[in-house]
Amino acid sequence: MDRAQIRHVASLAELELTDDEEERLAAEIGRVVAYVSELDAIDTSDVPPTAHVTAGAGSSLEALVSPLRPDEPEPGLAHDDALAGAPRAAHGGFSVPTFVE
Amino acid sequence: MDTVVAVAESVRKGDKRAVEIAETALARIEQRDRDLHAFLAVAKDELLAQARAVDEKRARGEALGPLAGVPVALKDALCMRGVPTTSGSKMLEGWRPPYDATVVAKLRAADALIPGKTNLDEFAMGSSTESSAYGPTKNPVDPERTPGGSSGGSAVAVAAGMSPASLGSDTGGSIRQPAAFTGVVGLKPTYGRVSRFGLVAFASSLDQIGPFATDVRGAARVLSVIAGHDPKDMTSLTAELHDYEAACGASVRGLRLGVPEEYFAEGLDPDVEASIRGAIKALEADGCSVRPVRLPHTRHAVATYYVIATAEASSNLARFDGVRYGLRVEPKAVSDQSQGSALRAMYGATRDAGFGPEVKRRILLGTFVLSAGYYDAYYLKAQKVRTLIRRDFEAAFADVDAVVCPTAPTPPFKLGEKTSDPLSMYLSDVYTLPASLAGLPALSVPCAPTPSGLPVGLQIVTRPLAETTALTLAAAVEASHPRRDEGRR
Repeated sequence: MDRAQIRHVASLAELELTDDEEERLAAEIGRVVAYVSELDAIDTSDVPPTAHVTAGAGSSLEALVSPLRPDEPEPGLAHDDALAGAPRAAHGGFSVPTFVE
Repeated sequence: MDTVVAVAESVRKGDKRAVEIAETALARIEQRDRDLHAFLAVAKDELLAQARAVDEKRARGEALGPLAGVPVALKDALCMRGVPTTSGSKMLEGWRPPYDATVVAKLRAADALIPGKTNLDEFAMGSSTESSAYGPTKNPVDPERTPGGSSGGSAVAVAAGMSPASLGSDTGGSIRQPAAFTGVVGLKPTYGRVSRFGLVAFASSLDQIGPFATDVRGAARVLSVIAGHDPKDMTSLTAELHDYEAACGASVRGLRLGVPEEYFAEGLDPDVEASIRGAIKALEADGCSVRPVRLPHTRHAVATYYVIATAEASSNLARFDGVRYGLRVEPKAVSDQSQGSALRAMYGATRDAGFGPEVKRRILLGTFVLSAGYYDAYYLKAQKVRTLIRRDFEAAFADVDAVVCPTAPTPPFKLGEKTSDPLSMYLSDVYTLPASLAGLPALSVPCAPTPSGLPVGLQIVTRPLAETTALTLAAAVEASHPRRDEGRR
């Protein structure tokens, strides 16, 4: 993994790295990527993926999940509580830097 | 330190007031935690208020809950209304959640006392608590050694007698490994058995909350309180609860144990191996049958886990953007004047300042394996190998009731020993990752310590929702391995 690749991935992840971090992380992540590449050698033809143990691939738990709760209104987080942890709030909302002209 | 059950009974009978227990816990934390650093926040006022409420409830003649007056410390990844929750990160320094996690609400309803929030690796990413932004926790058995992680603070709170029980979360071993390293009981329930609502997310298909306790029955009682379906967590299971405490006294006679040869391979410390084999022999003497089983994909668990967990983490941690809660860093200058650049510069500055090195590594690795051109080769491939790891266990459980093996390949390692080499830290999780990937219940119970006195944990893995079998076996292991009291004075 080279620095250009790390810079691209960091940009996707909205991480701004210093030059030192870029260099160090390129080397460290390169080693981990090389290690996880051992998975290439495993034959997975006809093997379905597992995204979640409660679903698919013959899961015995599949019948035990009920992903939807009844569609009934109930009180949620109060407006002031929701804003209380915001680093910046204004006019009853979260405040962000300008992003449209 | 009394056990969970002993404390609850003494309060129920009126032998002790909850306020006395709270004061003793606070004194103990004061005395021990300066050196150990298990706690990030001690919620003294809340604790005493909870204790007074329990005493008043009893005075009114009302029935008390199953954890009446029992201190249960919380890993600082669990939200408790109004009490600072950092998840071990500068990103959340000073943040006070506006709500309780479901497990916290359940503890309150059971009349438990919550002494505070315990240290962890930053966002639960680590195996030693050393990635915590607030400094490492030390092992009470030997302060030069790690208590394990990521739930190291919760393990030490119990091991050092500051709280008879605590809650942790386990994504790849974060309850079991610190339990083994500190000589306490730690249980990761079946994925979905305990609601994750209010747990700061790391890897959502793997995260599971569970108890630490001084003894097996204590862990069972806490599990019986926190388990159950929660409409607020779409992955929580609707299955009925079992009688976990009754399971602790059941006979092990006739239970079939599988010993996976892959867990006794190169890299296993010989002292750990001797202790584990001794514990399995003792179970055999108690009437269990023992046979070898094969879990051939075990050796790919580390690679599989570090692809899947980091991919999920990179997505989960996208929420830390300096807008709704937590840290915000305004960039010094925005050179690029294009549309949206000021917002992106704020994201970048905030996330660079708020996340520590291990978290950045994992976000970058996770983003990489999900990125265009690499998704199939890494992420989808790892999900397929995850299926093979699940199938290994399904095949084994056709013939046995439990798989027994070491929780960790070594005794607790020295602080600083693995911090410079992320991969060596990842490899220390090799024995706990497979059960996480398969979503299975798994428990670590202390067995004989090494000749130099370091704790060793036996891991017991069972079928989905068979926590009872694990508890039955663990109680038998506990009975044949009387607890030492070192590090608990």
